[in-house]
Amino acid sequence: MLEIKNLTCHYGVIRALHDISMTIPDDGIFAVIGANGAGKTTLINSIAGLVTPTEGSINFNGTEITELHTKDVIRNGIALCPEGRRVFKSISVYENLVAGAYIMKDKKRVEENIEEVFRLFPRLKEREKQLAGTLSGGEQQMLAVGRALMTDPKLLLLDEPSMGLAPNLIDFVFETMERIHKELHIPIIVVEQNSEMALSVADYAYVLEVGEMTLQGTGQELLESDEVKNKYLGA
Amino acid sequence: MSNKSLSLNGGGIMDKMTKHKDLIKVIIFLAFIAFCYFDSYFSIVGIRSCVNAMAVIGLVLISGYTRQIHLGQMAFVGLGAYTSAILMTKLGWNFWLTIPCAIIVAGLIGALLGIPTLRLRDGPYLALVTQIFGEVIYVLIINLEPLTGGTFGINGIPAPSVGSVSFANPSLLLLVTAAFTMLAFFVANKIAKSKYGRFFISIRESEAAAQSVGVNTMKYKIIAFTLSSAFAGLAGVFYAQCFGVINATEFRWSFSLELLSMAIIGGIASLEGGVLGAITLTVALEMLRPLGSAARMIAYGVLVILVLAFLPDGIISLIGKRWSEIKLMFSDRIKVFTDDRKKKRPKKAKVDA
Repeated sequence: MLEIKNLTCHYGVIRALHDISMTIPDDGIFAVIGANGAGKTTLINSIAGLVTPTEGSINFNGTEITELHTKDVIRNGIALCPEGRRVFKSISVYENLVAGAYIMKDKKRVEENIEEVFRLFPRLKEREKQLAGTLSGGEQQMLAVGRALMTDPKLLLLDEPSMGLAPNLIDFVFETMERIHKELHIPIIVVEQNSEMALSVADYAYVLEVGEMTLQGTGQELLESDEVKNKYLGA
Repeated sequence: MSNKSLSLNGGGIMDKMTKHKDLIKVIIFLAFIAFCYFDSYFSIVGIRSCVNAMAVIGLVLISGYTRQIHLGQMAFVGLGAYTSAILMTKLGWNFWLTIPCAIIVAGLIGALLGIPTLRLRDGPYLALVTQIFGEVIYVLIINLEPLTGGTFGINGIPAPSVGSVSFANPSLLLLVTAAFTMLAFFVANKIAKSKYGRFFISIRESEAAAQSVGVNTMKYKIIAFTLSSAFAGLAGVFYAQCFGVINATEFRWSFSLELLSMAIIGGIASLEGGVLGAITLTVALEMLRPLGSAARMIAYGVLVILVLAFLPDGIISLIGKRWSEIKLMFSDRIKVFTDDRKKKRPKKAKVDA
């Protein structure tokens, strides 16, 4: 269970997040939606230890992870898939997956996890030896997610998985997300600008606006809420 | 298919192939040194090539592997040169003892400069700071006259010796310099093949991805920069030996740019490329000397542009390729310049599995 209490983050004097509290149980898909600059990525990055909060605390399964470095956050079972399909372009798909598990000492486990990722994404298995930079956008996104799954996460953080993908691939990305959730039984926090898609798959969702949490509710509730409709769904 | 390994360096067959290639590289290098050995003028050219090669090896680690643009490498060569020269002329130290000192001084100052600079986010900060740093070093050297000789520089730097054998003769000095260059290459190659090398590359490929898998990218950028400075310090020791005279103006930023262009022309993505660039350009610049310094720099500039245009991966990318492959590479590049509007060229056409 992830518990975020009164989280506040600053970049220099600019406040990016203000007094955010949320509780993420051990199962479900959780969406964070909001406009550009609302603080969505900051929220994800502070959970992953890439941004150090100025106030508040983040607790994961009883461990205080607020001040931990990313490496130790990952060791505690949180994995981050960064935005913009960041893969290591000049090495192969296989090597990208190995790199994802570089903190893991158990090589046998790494091999098993690679097999697991290939089972989830047979497409990656086909392209195992190919350089990651030569994959299509959708495949790179799969690889980035697969790489995040290499460390046996108990919580997966996805930052804008649909960014820059063709519309038909966006559907695929969200289907994949549901599949990962179903097959691996891990909670997923997804940050998205594509609010409609995110809300339609989310069990519970949060709306961020200029660093503050303005609304929350089940995906369905938010989809039907007038405020969300006006601001984010363009209806 | 079955050739799976958890290292990022590929498997057994490849290892054998690269070993073979490694041997050829060493032979080519030794042939170059042997060629230079028999002529005292060429010995000096050879020493300069080796000095530049050592400095470029450092640059490849920070600018090639880690992709942080470093525009002040020559200042670190200067730090090494002055450290060695001052210790020898003022304190009468033995040449060999000044080598570790120069490496440590350059590396330490590199770390001190790198820690605050690389803490800043991505971007051109390192390039700006290193370039300015080079000028600061220049001004410092000019003004610390009692220590550095100010604008007059340091003269009469004694040659190294072992027992009664002095290496004052350029041919002998060349052999020592070449030996240290090979040592530097060997060490850098070990680093590049180690986990450090892989972390450096991960930063180049995507800093965000590297961070997301838990790599402390800031730490490894600082390590790469410190190592780069240390290699420059080593180069400096032999730079001071080359003519036995050093002067602050020789370490200003334009010479740092020269080093960076050597690395780029040779192929900044690999140590071999860097060394190749350092040697070919040092020799080429010597050959162009009769043209006068202005024409030389123009020729140099044109060469950089041509290589960037037609060989973006450097001269090293030509080596070991068949003529037909090279022709294909060039026609590909020419296409980029002629009809890039219509369609982007497919990146390195790969056969689908």
